Amino acid sequence: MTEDLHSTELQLRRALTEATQQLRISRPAGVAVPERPTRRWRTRTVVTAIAATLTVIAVATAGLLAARHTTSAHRPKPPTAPTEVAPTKLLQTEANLVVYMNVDAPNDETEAVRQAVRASPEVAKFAFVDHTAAYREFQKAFSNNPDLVNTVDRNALPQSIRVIARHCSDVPGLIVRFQQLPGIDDVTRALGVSHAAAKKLGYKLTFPPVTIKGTCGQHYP
Amino acid sequence: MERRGRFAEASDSSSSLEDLYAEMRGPMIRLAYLLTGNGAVAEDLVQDSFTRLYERWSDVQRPGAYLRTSVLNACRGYHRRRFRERSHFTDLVPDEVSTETPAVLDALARLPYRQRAALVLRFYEDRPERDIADALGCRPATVRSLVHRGLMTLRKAMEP
Repeated sequence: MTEDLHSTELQLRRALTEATQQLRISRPAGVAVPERPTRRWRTRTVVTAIAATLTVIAVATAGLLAARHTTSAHRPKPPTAPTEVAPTKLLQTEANLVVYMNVDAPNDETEAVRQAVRASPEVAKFAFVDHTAAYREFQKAFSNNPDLVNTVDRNALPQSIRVIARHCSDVPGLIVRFQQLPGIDDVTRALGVSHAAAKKLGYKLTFPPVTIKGTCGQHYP
Repeated sequence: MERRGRFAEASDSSSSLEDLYAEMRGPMIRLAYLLTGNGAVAEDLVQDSFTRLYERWSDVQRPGAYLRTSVLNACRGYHRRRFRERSHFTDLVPDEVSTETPAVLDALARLPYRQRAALVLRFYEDRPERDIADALGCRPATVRSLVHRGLMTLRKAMEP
């Protein structure tokens, strides 16, 4: 009996392994997997790499020489203050997190939150979406449904601030910090928002998590 | 002493979601494939699980274990939906078991989901009983009995 079960186990193990060996897994969308380089390509890469190294060394030496002649006051400082842009330049889908104000939040609370975002060194870029901008986006999104647009009052759409962090690792900390400010309805990761919205509309968004890294840190060092 | 799983621990030391994705996507798709019998469905379910993990990344203590449980739950959900679909559209949804599949896999596909999951985790992934119990939400003793009953059914099914 035990021997029988043991042989069944062995057959099962073999069948499971063989079945997965036959499985062809597609490459994840959005992830560039480099092809195996050809010999010619490799030669060209080596030559390019050597040329690049020499250039870097030359530039670095020139830079060091130049630095001797400049005082530290002239050196460019790393950016610390975040840049504010118009909502049209930073769409909700591009943000790392979105701070939603209460619909009826008074102006001074909104202004305080805006200042807090502006004073955060972890923030690379942000956009303040006031009632008018929110309504304009809403109108645009539902341009084929004027009845719906007409039923919604401009002031019923909450004001929000879209934020891009310098590094992805800063995002959780920012969420916690902003959530504690008065007048906040919710602070949420932008991708969560679009997922939730798409789900309500009956769509399913699929994107690989690996592409997310590019949206913070990399573009805004 | 119990053997350690084929993919044990490595997945929980991954520092970032990107690393975990690169490391675990393939193994998780193969696991989901063995539990659903459909490669495309397996890829979809695993992608959904990664998306869920991404949304909770900061709260999850052991991402590898969370991911595995998430994939197992997704596969169970898939079976439930399929069962419901089949009970309504018996003629429209053909059974996917083909004549070329080894008899043992045919029999595996007919097992109740928990037995099937326990067998795959035990004999494909080589997970220790405690991990399987965590992933399936039961006690290690239950895992032993699931594995034993599953094997008995497979043996009976393959008798000439």
